Amino acid sequence: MLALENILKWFSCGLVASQLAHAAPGTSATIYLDHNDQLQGEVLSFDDSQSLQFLSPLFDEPLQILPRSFHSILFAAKEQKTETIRHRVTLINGDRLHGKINSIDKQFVTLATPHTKLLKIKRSDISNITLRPEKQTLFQGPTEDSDWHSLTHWDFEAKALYATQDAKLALKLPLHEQFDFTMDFSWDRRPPIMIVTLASPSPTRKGTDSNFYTVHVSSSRIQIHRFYSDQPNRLLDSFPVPETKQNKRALSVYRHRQSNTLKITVDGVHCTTIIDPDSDQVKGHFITVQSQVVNSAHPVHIKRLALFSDTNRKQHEDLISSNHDLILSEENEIIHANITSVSENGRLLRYRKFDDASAQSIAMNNVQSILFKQNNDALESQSKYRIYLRGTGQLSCEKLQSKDQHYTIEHPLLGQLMIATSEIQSITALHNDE
Amino acid sequence: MNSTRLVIIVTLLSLTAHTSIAKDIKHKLIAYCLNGDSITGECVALDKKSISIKPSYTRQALDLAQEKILHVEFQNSKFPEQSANNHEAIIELKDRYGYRGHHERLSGQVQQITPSHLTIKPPFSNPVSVDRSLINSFEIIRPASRIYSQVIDLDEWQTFGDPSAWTKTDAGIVAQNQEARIAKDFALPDLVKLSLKIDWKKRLGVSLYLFTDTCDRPTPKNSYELRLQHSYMYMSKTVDGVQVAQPHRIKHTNYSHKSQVTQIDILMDRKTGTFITFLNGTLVHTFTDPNPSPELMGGGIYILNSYNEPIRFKHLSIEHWNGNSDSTKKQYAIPTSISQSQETIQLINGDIVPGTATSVEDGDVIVDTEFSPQLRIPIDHIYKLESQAAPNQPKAEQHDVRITFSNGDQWIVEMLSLKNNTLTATNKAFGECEINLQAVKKLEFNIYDNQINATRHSKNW
Repeated sequence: MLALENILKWFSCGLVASQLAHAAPGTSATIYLDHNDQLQGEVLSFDDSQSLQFLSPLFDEPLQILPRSFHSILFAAKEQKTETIRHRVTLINGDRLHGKINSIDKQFVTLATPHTKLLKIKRSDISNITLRPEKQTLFQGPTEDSDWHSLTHWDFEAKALYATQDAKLALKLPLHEQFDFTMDFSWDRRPPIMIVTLASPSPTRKGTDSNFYTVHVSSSRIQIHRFYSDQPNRLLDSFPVPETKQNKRALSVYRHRQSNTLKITVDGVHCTTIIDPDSDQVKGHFITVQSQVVNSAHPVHIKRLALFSDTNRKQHEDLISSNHDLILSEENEIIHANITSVSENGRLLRYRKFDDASAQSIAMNNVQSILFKQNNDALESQSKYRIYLRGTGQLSCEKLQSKDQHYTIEHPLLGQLMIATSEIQSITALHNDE
Repeated sequence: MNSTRLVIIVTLLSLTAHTSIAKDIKHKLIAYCLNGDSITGECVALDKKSISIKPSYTRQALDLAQEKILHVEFQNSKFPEQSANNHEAIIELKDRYGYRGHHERLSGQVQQITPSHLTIKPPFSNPVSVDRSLINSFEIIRPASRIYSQVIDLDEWQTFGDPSAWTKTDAGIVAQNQEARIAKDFALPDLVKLSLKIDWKKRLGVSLYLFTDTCDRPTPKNSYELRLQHSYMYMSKTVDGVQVAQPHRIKHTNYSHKSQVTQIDILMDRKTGTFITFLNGTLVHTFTDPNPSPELMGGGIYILNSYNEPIRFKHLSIEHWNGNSDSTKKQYAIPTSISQSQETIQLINGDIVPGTATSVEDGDVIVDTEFSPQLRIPIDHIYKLESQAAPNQPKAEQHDVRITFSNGDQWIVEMLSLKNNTLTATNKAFGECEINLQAVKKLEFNIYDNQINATRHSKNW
């Protein structure tokens, strides 16, 4: 019944329906294959049982790529601004969806996705709902009392670090599955070269025998290198940046290990998204910043250095109960309850307290997270692909088929779903070892 | 009867097996395309216009047009080194018309010399007869005296500081900034000749730590330091990490700072602490340590970039030196009267014979001189052959491909076909040749396109 209800739930806007009538062109994408190969082009069609047809400008005929022989497909599309109200629903298999909770009843949660269509999800398939996903601040500086691992040749000035010679700093932080590193720096006359090392296992970068990333920022170009423990380093991307007349630059690097992505934003403009197929090997705890100044007449100032991470999901997992639901309030109060519904206007969450069964309600604005009781054993995933949606949602699936600018997927919990290609950031093929 | 049948069957089976082994040689390669894409697969076919690759992830083989490829790297197993002969000839061809400075290099054993052609047998192809009018230089190397001779391979060296400070190129390694320093212990003997080609874009600032005792720390404890900085050369000595006395400074080094390239040759004697330095073939200085301490020194070499500006280090050659500095001086300073001769043969003892090499007989080069038409010189006694042939230059063709071999040789050819393991190609100086593909390291395409060449090299070269 549930499967039937889920069949052909439209995950995309009505625009897609009008496009269905026409033969659609391919979707611009970069495909990452074995041996670190990559090809740019267009995905013409994808049928999991046959092949992926990929049109590369290098060849006249479309390539017939064997299903699951690719690592990832990164679709080219402009980064979209995230919605202001976003509730995050985490399913029991770890998949995540974003949207607005429209209703909760005894059996189902209805989620309005950013694209208006409603998704009815069985409560027992949901691990938790975070109503206010927040970023955890791992580092915010620079200040003299910040927790530096090392500082070489940097001096402190008002709310900034400055250096008149080549200088280096290192931070040791619990870098999570995903993090957002931000650095704002300025200079007096001629720009410095800034080299940021991310997720390195050591602060010294001795030799090239470890896995980490470097972001090399010069006045006109940014290069992202991947260093390996067992092979020569590789340039992941290199792109020009406009020279700034304001003598300052803001660099932001977002890293999401599971989807193997690195997103680089410069001066508030998203510049590139990179897929590193071996991203899971990069798990060090150090971030270093090396500054190379021209000479003492051209000092560099770091005005902001920050590292944010996703909220701690593990905390939620520790709290899950098999007897009752849990509500975590904004004040970090934990309410043991059986959730009954959300009011029609979506402002109140109604529940019965677990100990005395009294009917209560709490303003949705005051709820941080909801954890539904869990009776199911952990779902064994047979998924072959994982789809990363724009934003931070992700869905796994066993079957995948594309047609006319949308993908039809077979989700282990939600059944068949149709997703507009424009909503997909990337698709990763899961191999047996995962 | 039965035994005859058995022999025939065994012979047939062994022949079949041999044929299938020959056919089964698979040449895995990575093609780097002009749009940034890369494709790994087996090389199925090659011709003048395209290369056919079968990746593991596609159903079909992909026919990639040469005009879309930057370069192709072969992942061949190491090509077996040839047993050392008494000599190895190195021929540098004249650069292509319109493309100055890019010389092809061939090495191999000399088989024959005629007034018009020089035949050598490269280790990975059939013998080739090179048009002598297209030869830029010809040198003989004695493998027995060689300690190290190749484009510096960073993997063999200890790297200190910023690992991204180094960039590998086919023509050498580029040190991007001051953080860049590398070291290697060669277990150098007491008497050594070191040669290194250096070029730069803005400023020259290079330090060579010589006879270092360690190679596992950023700065050696005991060593001699030779520093080239702008138009000066400095020589100093460090003992227990402390510089002994002021560095010895020499003015007016023999390179034009504008030319941005220099060849440095150093004759080094650990026992006497003597360093005889030649820049671009001219003796610039002899440094002798007043208090040599050979017992403290070791066999390592460090290379450092002293500035935050890129410097490229090219082919490094380290050879045994017989300690005879007089003869070596002669090698580098050719008397004007001799250099005016049509052809000169320079010998390893520094002697220079004006004359024309006419043939090779029993390992001797027969030289037609003013005094003897049949002067025999053993080939391994020849250091260099210089001729002033009529001006001639090979032409650049649209489908020219530069092949880099596992030994560092580079040929420019038009590829004709690939059959089993043999690439048939044609070169302007020596015509059609058959190359063992196993020895090919890299193929570069679109080699005369300046824009493409700008992406081929690092941002500075």
